[in-house]
Formats: sequence, structure tokens, C-alpha cells
Amino acid sequence: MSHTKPTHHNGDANGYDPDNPHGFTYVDHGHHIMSGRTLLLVLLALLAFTGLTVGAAQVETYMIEVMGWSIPHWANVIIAMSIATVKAILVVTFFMALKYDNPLNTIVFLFCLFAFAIFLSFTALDLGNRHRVEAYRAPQISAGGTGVNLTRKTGEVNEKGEPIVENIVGPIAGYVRNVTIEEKGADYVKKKLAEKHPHHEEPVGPSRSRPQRGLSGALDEHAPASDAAHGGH
Amino acid sequence: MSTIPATHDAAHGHHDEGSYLTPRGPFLSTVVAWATTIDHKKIGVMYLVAVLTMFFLGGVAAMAVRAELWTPNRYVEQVQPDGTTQTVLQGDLLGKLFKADGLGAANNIYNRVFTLHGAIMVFMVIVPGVPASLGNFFLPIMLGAKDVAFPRLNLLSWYIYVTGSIFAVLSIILGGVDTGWTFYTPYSSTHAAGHWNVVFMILGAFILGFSSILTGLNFIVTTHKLRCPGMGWFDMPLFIWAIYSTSIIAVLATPVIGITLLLLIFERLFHVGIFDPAMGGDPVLFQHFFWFYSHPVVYVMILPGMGIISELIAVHCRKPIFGYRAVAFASLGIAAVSFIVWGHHMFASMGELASAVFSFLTFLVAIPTAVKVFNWIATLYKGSIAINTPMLYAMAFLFLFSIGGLTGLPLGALATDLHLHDSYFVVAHFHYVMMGGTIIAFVGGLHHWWPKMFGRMYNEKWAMLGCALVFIGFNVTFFTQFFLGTQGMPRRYASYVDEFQFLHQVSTVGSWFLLLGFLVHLGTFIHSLVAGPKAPPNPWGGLTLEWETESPPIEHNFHHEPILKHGPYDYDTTVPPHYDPADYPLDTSTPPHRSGH
Amino acid sequence: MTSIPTQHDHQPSPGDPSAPGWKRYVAASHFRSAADEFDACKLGFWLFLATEVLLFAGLFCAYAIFRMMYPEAFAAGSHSLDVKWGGLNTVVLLISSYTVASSIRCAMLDKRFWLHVNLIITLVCAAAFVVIKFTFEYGPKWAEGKRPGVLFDYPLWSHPQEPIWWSVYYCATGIHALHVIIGACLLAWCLYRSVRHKAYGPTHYTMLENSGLYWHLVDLIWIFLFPLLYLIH
Repeated sequence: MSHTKPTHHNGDANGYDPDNPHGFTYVDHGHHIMSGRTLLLVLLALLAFTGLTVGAAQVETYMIEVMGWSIPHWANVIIAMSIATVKAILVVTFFMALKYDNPLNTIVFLFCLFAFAIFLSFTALDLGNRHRVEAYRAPQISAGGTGVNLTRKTGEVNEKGEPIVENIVGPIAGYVRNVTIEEKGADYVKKKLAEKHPHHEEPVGPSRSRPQRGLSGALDEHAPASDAAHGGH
Repeated sequence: MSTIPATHDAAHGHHDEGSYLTPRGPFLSTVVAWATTIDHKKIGVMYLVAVLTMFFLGGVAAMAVRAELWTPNRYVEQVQPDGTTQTVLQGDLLGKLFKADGLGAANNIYNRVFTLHGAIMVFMVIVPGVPASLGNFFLPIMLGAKDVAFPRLNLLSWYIYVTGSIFAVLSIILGGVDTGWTFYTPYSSTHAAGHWNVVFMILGAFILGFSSILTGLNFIVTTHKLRCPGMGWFDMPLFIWAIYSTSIIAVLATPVIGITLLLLIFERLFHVGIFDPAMGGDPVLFQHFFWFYSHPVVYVMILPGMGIISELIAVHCRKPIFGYRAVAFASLGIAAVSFIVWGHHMFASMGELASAVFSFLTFLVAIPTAVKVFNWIATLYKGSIAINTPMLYAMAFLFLFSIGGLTGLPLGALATDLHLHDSYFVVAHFHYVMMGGTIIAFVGGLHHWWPKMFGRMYNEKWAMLGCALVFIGFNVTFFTQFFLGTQGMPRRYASYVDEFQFLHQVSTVGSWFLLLGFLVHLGTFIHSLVAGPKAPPNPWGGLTLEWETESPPIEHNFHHEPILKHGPYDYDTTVPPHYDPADYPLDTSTPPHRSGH
Repeated sequence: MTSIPTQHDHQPSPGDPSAPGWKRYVAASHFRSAADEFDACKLGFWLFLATEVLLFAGLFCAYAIFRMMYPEAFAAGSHSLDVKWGGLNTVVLLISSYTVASSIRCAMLDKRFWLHVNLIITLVCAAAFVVIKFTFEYGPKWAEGKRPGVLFDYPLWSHPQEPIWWSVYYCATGIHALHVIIGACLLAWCLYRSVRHKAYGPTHYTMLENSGLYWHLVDLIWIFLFPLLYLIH
């Protein structure tokens, strides 16, 4: 890594070195040639971790649904996110070569992750804790919404060739189901739902039945029974 | 320079060193040369023209808003000549102008006009204003560089800016937007009238975001990589520190508004429902998204202004700036704190816990800001203060920004904010900070650097008159609004009760003085360009590198790569280069006499 | 190692038409050296990558908040995605990341043939990703009525909040897919420049390096999107 010496010197009394204008210890960045073996090993590790995270998720599902074990709902988040983080670190360190690069680039990247963390945590601080001080602040939004009062094209056309427009009444999910029940009957929907969930008891896994918090107050048992979104469930 | 000696200079061309303004060939090819230039100085001037154009447009909207508020919009019973009484609509100036039908329609036009004013002034004037025009022009020169790190990217940023502005103007032509510049959902996503005008306005803001990002990125790399030999971090002028901090905020915060506006466009076009309570989405989530960008961006607006003030005060007081490092770190401190205080815009819509946390954090901003203000004042102390336009603007800034900053405290405090929220108190507060801070600093900086940028002096007397008119007009316009706000006048209303009319009319009269002041400045500048005396290289006796080159600078900024030998404010030890004391008598309170150089 | 030149040894020969493009490259005149320019370009690009991360931060934040609000809807929605296709796409992206890293390595070692082979494999992987995404994931889901927001038309939902899940899913993966396409275009441009002008070699490969970084970022985002969308029930 020979640094070509300057041919002329900008005469300077203050001990200024034109080769190193900012007084830094100059490190030769970014020209590290990765060995092919390292790259390949990193790829293999990444693939292995992908397998691991898929496997872990299936084991968890199996334990919850078949064996009825109780795994805390955050456990699979922690496991999957940890594996993803390890993979990300591998990619950033070796594929993106931050390990051999100007440390400034690493700082830039860390700063942006820091900004992300602030963004996420403060937003969650508000939206996850609205009921903490005054309970009435919590249930401001109803699950499924209040209904959009919109029209949308059905995709079909009438005899004049104009698109048929339908009015959506109430929350969209409930509306869609009600339309199907009107067209094909409630039994059809029930049958189809039963096929979709072969053992359609309330799911046992804690991740699927934990109590609602935050804004989704309308989802719990106190929700008004008339809410169209809950029909047929 | 050292590694590629010969080819380098040849490619560079030291043969013809005319000023960057010297036309090269006939008119048309000069225009093409400007439109395709990658010279940061020309791009800075192009930004200046574009920003001032948008400032004019936003200003017209502002005058219309003030004119509309001369009288409240309302129906009154009127006795007709034939003896019958009839209900007629009164006070709807804009409504009559645009032939609106009825009170609702008239109010709607008012909504569009104030949205126009807000959106243009925020997204197209104050955010890009100082960094993109003065920053672009002076950042490389003050660093002793030939150009910004990525000159072509710089030109691209300008075109992106223009494209974004065109979308915004297109939206206005299509009928305007009445959402307010904040685009709060679900009004903006579902209910606001006019499908494509809303989409175009949002798209315009989205595109403008790219311009901010690319400019910020360019400035950060330039500051890191292109400082001239001998210039360490703490030899940089404070304007550079401010622009650098601004750029960090722009790079880290702007992408979030990008995704927010993108989701808003999806919301508007496809009703994806993420921000729409009717679909089970959360409008408060939109507010978090929006303010995560828009609060830091408040400091994108003010930090460059603060940087300008640091320059103005040091140069026109002839004194080393008091506490250089404190001011420099205060810029970075403000940038850091700016990311954790956005919730104070949402006290009325957040839960109490988060509100309390954000309220506490908000007060942190006061610390680095106060450090700056106190250091400026300490710099003034026993300085050789010259009374000229830039200095007057610096003083105006100190006065107005302090009022703006201190009135921010009751808005950051949870208990008082809930009462002042969305009132004229807020309007007055942010105008004191944004206009009294940023625009005042911008105009001051423009006067400070005008001789350098265009090589002509301006008429000091007329400029000072303009400054006085702006200062008086500004205070008359906006100080009254503090009273209106505390008395309960809500913002964004076209109408009000009779008790508010006097203050509203005072405010409107103030806006006329403000307009007059800006017109005087415009006249002064045009006169300067046409008939102003030629400017010397260093009319004020500044020490930063831009005063070492010619006025206007040559195409490649410097004849030789400068080597920094002194700090930017070493007035106690260094004689300013190219400086003729006749330009700048130190012991006088009258405008300096300028003979034609 | 010492025999391999770096930017510091860059002696451009712009006038020599027989020299490959990377030898003819002349650094911009406002930089002190080619190495300095390379470092600056990389810093600039890392800053750009930071903005990309923060762009996706909004989507991750929306995901986190709605998952916190409606965990059951997200579990149900996640169940209706096919881990098989998601996993395959992960593998495809990881392999393409590896080939991009290898192509940069080949450029640094002046192995142009393998540089091209690696880039072509990357482009094939990019195409595979997009094809899998659109034909096996978006296509069938959309046809079933599993669509975002008001377009939602799937009567057999398990939770009334599923339209929001699909909104988050389509926005996140759609914007990611857009980035895949942009990244592929950048790499295709690099391939063209390399084939046509022999543009990249040991002393100059800035564009290739930065396009590679962009591609790794696309991979990085997917490393997190995959478990969040497909695995965490």
C-alpha cells in the first residue's frame, strides 16, 4: 500500500503535512480483499441460520398447537429476532465489509439504527401505554374500524358495460363476510371456516389468546355484540 | 493533488479564471451552461432564485390570509333600500375574490390559502432555504474546497427541488389543498376534497424530501473529506458546524417523512387504512410518523440561521466568537435532542404517560439553544460593533428568536400547552422562531454575503430602512397574535368574535409593513445588481476563507488551494486578508462610506 | 497481496484507448486522489443506505404498532403466508448477496470473467425473487381476496383486523420488491459497463462497490422482514 509521495511541498511553517492534511493517522480503508473462503463460510452460516429460524418457528408452533405447551408469546419473537440480528451482523460485517472499512461508515450505520430505535420506542411508548394513566384514553379505535362509507368497483360490469359499484357498509371485513353469507348462506361460510381451522377451539397458545391491550379495547369481551365485524365468528 | 499531479491540473484548467458569473458565449448557451452546471456557486444561486420565487408565492398567500382576517366571515341581517331585511355574507374577502358560494365555501377558500402558505413556506422555503442557497454557495468555499463532494448529485438535487415545487404548484392550479401543511389523517387521506390536488401536494413534499436528503448527504461528505489542508474540525467556521448538524438531521429524519407521505398516498389512492380509524388504522400513528420528521426539521430550519448569526456577529463585532466549541457542540446537541422531543406537537392526542415524558425531554432543547444565545451576547460585549444591515439583522434575530424561544416554554409544558394548543399563541410562537429566526437570519446572511456572491455593494441606507420596516412589521404582525392566542383565538379559522377584531386588524396592518420592508430589500438588491459599486474582496474584514478569494469568486473558487493558517475568528491576532480599513471604519455608528473601487 | 494494486497506486492513462476502463478512469479534480474519492463516495453511499434503513423504519414501526394492537390478526395473517416461498426467497437473496460480494472481490483481483459470472448469477437470483414474489405469493393471495385495506375481499378471515395486516404486508414487501428491482437495475448497469468498457478493476470499482452495498441492504431488510412476516405467529 505505498502512498505516492508528493512531488512538491506546499512550504509550511506550522509543520503541516500535505500528505496528511487533517492530522489524522491515515488508515487505508476499503481495499481489503476478502478471501473467497470467508465469503463462502459466511454464506453457509447465513443459510444455516435461515434453516434454524424456520425450524425454531415450526418447533414452537408444534409445541403450542400439538403438545399444548405454554411458551411465552414473546419467546418466539426474541428467538426469531435474535437470529435475524446475527444474520444481519454477518452481512454487514463481511458482505458489506464494515469490518475492514472506514470506521466512519460504521458510525453512520449505527447512528441510523439509533434513530430507528428512538422512533420505534417512543412511538410504542405512546401507543402501547395510552391506558396507563387514564383508562378512557385507551379504546379510541375499534377493531375493524367504524366503516369506511366508501364505494368500490366489484370488477364486474352491467349490461351497458359500466363497472358495477358497490357501497361498503360497516367495517370492511364484516362487510365482505356478510356479502358472502347473503350470497351463499351462513352454513357455507361456517363449513368453510371449519375446513380452514380443523380444530377450531379457542387456540391454546398464549401468543394467540393473550388479552388485548392498548387501543384495541373494542376487541375484548366488552365489545358491543352488534359490531358487524364480529358476526359469524 | 499529490498523487495525480500532471493530468489533474490539465483536466481542471487554470487557464481562464474569470468570475463564475462571467457569461461564456451568447445568451442561449449561457442559459444552457447554467442549467447543466455542476458548479456549486451557480447551483446555490439557482436555489436562491427558486427559493425566493417560492417565498414570493408563499408571501402572497400570507398577505391574502391577513387580508381575509381583517373582518370575520359571517352572515348579517341587512336592511335593503326597499325596507325588507336580507341575510348577506360579510367579510369573505377571498370568497368574493374567488366567487365562492356561501359561508362554507368562502371558509374553504381560506383553508386552501393558509395551507398553501404553510406548505410552501415550510417545504419549499424554510427547510431548503439557507442550506441549499447560502450553504451550497459558501460551504465549499469556507472549507477551501473547489466544489462539493458530489457536484452532479448537487445539480440533481436542484432539479428534484424544482420538480417537487412543480407538483405543488400543479396541486394549487388543480384547486389547492385544505388539509393544512401537516396533512393530518383521516382528513387528508379520506375526506379532503379534490383527489389529485391532495395527491400532488403530498407527492410534491415527498419529492422535495429527496432533494433535502441528497443535499444533506453531499454536505456531510464535503465537510468530512474536502476541508482544505490545515483545517481541523475546530478550525471550521460555525456556519459549517451548523450546516453539518442540519445535514445530519436532514439525512436521518427525512426518510421517515418519505415513507409517511408514501403511505399517505397509498391511503389516498387505495385506502389501505393504516392511518384511517374507519379501517381500524391509527391516525395518531400518522402524527408520530409525521412529527418524527417534522420536529427535527424545525431544527433543520433554525440551525443554519443560527450558523449565519454566528458569522454575522463575529465578523461585524471584530471579536473572536465567545466559546467557539460550546457553540459548535450546541449545534450538534440541538441536532441530537431534536430527535426525542417530537411528542410535544401531540400533547392533545397522546396518552398522558408519553406526554409527560416528551414534555420533560422538550425542555432539554432550551439548554444548547441558550448556550448559543448567551455566547452571541457575550461576543457582542466590548466588540467593535458596526451598525450595518447584517449586524442589524443579527440583533433583530437575537431579539426575535429569544421571544420565540421563550414562548416555546409554555408550549412545552404540558399543563399550559393543553390550553394554548392550536391557538394563535402557537402561530405567533413558531412565526417568531421560523420567520423571526430563520428568515431574518437568511436575509441578514444574504446582505452579509451579497457582495461576495454578486460582486456588488448595495445601498446601506435603503437596506437598513428595509430592515427596520421588516423588524417593526414583524413585531406588529405577530406580537399581537400572542394576545389573540391567550384570549382564545384558535388558529386556522376564517372567522372570529368581534372582540378579536382590533388585534386582528393591527396584525394585518403589520403585515403591510412587512411586505413594504421586503419590497425595499428587493429594490435594493436589484439596484445593487444594476448599478451597485463594485465590491472589494473583503468588504467587512472577515477572516473565513470566502473573503480570501475574489468577489465574485472565480470559477474554481481559489487561484491556489488555500492552506489554513488561522482560525475563523482570530480577530485578536490576525489581519484580515485583502482588507481596506476605509471600507470598514471600526469606530463609527454610521454606515461605512464606500467609494467606487 | 502486495502485488495487487489499490486506488493509491492508481496511475490513470486517460489517453490510452487500449487500456481497460478502470485504468483510464480519472478521479474528479476536487478530490486529492482516487483513494480519497473512493472513500468519499462510500461515505456518501453509507449515508444514503442510512436513509434507506430509516425509510423502512416507518414500515417496521407500523408493523410493530399494529402487531401490538392486533396480535391475533397478525398471527392469523402470518399463518396464511407460505413459509416455503418466503424461505426460498430468503435463500435466493442470501446467495445473490454472496455472488455480489464475490463479484467485487473478482473486480479487485482483476478476474473479469468471474466478475461477470457472479453478476449474472445475482441478476438471475433477483429475477427469481421477483417472480416468486409475484406469481406464487402476490398472485394467489390477491386472487383469493387477501388484499390491503378497502380492497380486502376474503370472507373467511379469522380476525376482523386482517385488512390492516394485509396493508402492512403489501406495503412492506411491495416497497422491498421495488428496491430489489432498483438494485437489480443498478447491478445490470454495472454488468453492462463492465462488459462494454471493462469499467471495473483493482484501482477503480466505486460504482460496483456501491451497487453491491445497495444489494446487501436489500438483503438485510429481507432478513428482518422474513421472520416478522412469515415466522412470528
